[in-house]
Amino acid sequence: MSSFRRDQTFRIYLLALVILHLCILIPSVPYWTLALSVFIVLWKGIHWTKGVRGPRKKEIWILGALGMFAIFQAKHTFLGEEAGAMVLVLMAGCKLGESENYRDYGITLILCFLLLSVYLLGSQGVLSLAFLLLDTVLLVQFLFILHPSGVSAFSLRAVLKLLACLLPVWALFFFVFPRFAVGFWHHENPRITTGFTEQLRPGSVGQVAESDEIAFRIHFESPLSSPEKFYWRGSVLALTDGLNWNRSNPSMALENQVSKSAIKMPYQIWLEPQFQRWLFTLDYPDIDSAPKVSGNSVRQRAGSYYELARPPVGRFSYRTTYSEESPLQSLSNSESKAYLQLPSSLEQEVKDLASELNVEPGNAQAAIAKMEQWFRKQDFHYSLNPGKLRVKQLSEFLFGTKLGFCEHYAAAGAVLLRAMGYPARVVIGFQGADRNAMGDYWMVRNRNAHAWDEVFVMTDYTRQRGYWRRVDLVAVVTPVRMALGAAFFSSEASKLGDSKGLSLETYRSHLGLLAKSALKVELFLDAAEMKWVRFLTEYDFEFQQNLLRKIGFRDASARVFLGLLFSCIALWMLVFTLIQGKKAKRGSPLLKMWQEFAELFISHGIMRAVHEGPREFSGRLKVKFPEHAEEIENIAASFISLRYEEPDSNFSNDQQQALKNKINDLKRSLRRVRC
Amino acid sequence: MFQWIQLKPGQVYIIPTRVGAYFIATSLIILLIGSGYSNNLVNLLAFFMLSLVFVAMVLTHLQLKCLDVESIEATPAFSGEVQTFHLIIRNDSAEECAGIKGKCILKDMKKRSPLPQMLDGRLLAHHRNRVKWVEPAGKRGRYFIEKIELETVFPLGLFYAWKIAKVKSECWVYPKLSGNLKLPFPQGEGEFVSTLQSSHRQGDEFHGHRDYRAGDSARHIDWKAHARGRALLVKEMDEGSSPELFLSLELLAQSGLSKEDCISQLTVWVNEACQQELSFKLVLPHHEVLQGRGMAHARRCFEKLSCFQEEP
Repeated sequence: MSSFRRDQTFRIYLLALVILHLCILIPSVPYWTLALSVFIVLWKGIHWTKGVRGPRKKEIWILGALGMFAIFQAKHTFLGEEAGAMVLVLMAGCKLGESENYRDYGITLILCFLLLSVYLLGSQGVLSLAFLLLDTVLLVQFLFILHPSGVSAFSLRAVLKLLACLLPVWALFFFVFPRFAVGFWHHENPRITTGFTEQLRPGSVGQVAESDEIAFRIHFESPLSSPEKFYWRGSVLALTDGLNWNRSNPSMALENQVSKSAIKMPYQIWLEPQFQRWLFTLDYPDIDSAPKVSGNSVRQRAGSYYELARPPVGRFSYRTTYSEESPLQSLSNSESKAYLQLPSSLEQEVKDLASELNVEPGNAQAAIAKMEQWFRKQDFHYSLNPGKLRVKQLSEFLFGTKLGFCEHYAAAGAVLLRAMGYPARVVIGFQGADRNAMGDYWMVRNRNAHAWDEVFVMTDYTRQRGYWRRVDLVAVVTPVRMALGAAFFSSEASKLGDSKGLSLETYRSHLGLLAKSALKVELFLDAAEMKWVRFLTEYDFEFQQNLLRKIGFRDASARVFLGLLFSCIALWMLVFTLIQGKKAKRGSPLLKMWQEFAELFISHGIMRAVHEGPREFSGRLKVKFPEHAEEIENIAASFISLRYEEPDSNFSNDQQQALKNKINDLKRSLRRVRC
Repeated sequence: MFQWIQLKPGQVYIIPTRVGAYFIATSLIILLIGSGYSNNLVNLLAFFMLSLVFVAMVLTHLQLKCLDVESIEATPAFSGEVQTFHLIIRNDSAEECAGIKGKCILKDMKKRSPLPQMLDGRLLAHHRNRVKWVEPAGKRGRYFIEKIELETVFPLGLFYAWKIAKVKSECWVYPKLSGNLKLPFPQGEGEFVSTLQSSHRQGDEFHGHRDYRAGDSARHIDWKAHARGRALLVKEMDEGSSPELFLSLELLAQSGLSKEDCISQLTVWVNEACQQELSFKLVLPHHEVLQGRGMAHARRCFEKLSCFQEEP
């Protein structure tokens, strides 16, 4: 029967390992599943450490069955990402609870690997990479001490030595193993950071803006203007009932652009995991360079926004271009009808206001200016939590509370403009960005979530041509919100008040030392995260193919990659075995020392014959060098004793050093003789 | 008697252990998950596990590759007593080998059933490692140590590697030392002529080896055998004197003892005669008559007694 570790240190290590792998899944798995698993683990731990009665197999089975029943009740399946994670968590706890032999501990270890993979599914940052590297050391150490013969002890040196051997193969696998062009699964309930819904309603954008997490990062390939002009288009909404807006009919025709800007600026976006299919693009997107996403197709929608054909899988990146000018386009009758649609129950006071503001009918620019002036003069306020509105939401906001978030202003502005007879629509996305100089990129957070209006300004009534002009009433009501972006919601910004001259630089200069340091650390970590994210998202099958083509492979199919991978691994195995063999051939240190001893006398004309044993040779030397006879005898006797008489003696470092010292002493004596 | 063995390295075989098989399956599952979700970090974990499999396979293989079984000897023992086995394994690698297990497979000439023995050890680098173990000596007879199997799952327990070294070494189990009868001296019961002579026999004919005892002259040590790695042995020469004792199985059987008891009794007598340095003749039915004195003669007698089977 194989022996296995039962000692206390091993058990505590195993307990700690399992608990660690359960804790990392706290954000992903319901607490009750974790609690059940941890309960079993702790019970086993108390049994091992305190000697109290441990969980019996029957009890484990009952708890396990109850847990599985509860999972099925909650998820109606055992398959899928979340249900699968819960099952794994339960299995890990139950398996440790019944672990009694080597095989059980081995299976527990394998479950830890599976738990780690579940954790990595939901988290791909730099910290996750760091945890992965640390965890590999812990798990390999466990494999060492789990060894059936029990000869291995806790040895970080041995683990690191093994990992050093493993590193070339690991790198080979990572860089050469072909990636699937398309991920065939998608996250059911990813830990998303961007959470726009398909419609705009009071509170929907505010909900997104409550989070400070990063929505996406951008790298511009050319210098650009101030972040106040960063409007990131997500989706365009056309159907309304007042404060609630929905997307237009997907089959609505795309805009007919008549002229395009000559100046197009390229940029690349790295999007964090999100559940909606929109791609965010900087106003005004260039429809000639629509974004391309590896493994997914992109469709353009009416309103010049882009949508993925399939739900996105994790992080991904895309490139596109933008121009600062809104392109000239023609407006069809159907589009005009869609963008003039008003709610059937529009309040009369709103209609009256619209008439009052439309001082020059047909002149959209004047109407916009009048509307902005009205909002500026009225005592409107901007708030993330404006409170709920009653039945007549629009008129209540415009004439009553005058307190709202961007969705209120955008909805009200669009309705007013439509009531005046100008085609208008609501755009939801993000506004602003923070620069991270450490990585030369910009960051857009969820706090930058925003909604604004676009109104069609006719320039040629004959041919129904014009352009869509942005109208942002929040910029009118709270200009500092545009300047500070996400920082507007911080406590430090609120202390500075609603000063018109406030800029991001001014805000940052007012930060305390601790806040400044924290900001610097945050930017540094994010820059590291960005580098990692860039590498992780861009290293796909297309990247591999390009790499292979660069080194001369015309056919860059998966078969070629696999062939290359296994050839490289076979080569590594051969080289490794040869290196080990060469190390072995270097020979015994004892024989080397004897050889060194024999070489001392070559210059004195005495050479050891191949057949000459140590006694014979030393006998000859004693005759030739009688003054050194004692030293020669000592050395020969030590060698014979270590080599022949005690085959199971440990040729220790001390013995090695002692023999070496004797040889060195003799060497010095012989040198003196020669001199 | 032990035999000097020189063996060529055998083939190393390797297969995954049960835990290793689970590990490989899990790594493939994780790879599928990583590919399915296009998650490079999960792929990284899967690749780590697969690389660990490859490295573990190579390291486990290398554990045995550099090991050579140099010699195996079994000290003859009487049945019911303890028999000592000495195995010398040479480790030619630059690394210490740990977690090596082994089996010594004995083959009975008549029964042909293996008797597995177990050993456990840590083998030093560039060293001839002696592994010693004891086993209770079973039934009398001449056994052959058929092969030595070395096996290991070191370092990670993911792969099981083994290597077979075929050997030809004898393992003698002499008959049990049991019997109360006194030596059958020709001059009467209880009397014996003390022939205290020097422990060394001066004669022309080489009689055999015996173990070196303190006080033996260095001139009679077999240095050539020692240079071949054996223990210190002293050469014995045959004196050729006439036997003093006559030990016969047929005569002993007439006293009513069973065959095995007779053999055991004869063994006791041979042992006593050897210790008293008496000359004696052993007669077994259908076997040659053995006569002589000293350890070598006693050994031949023990061997005959061990293998003695009544011919039908």
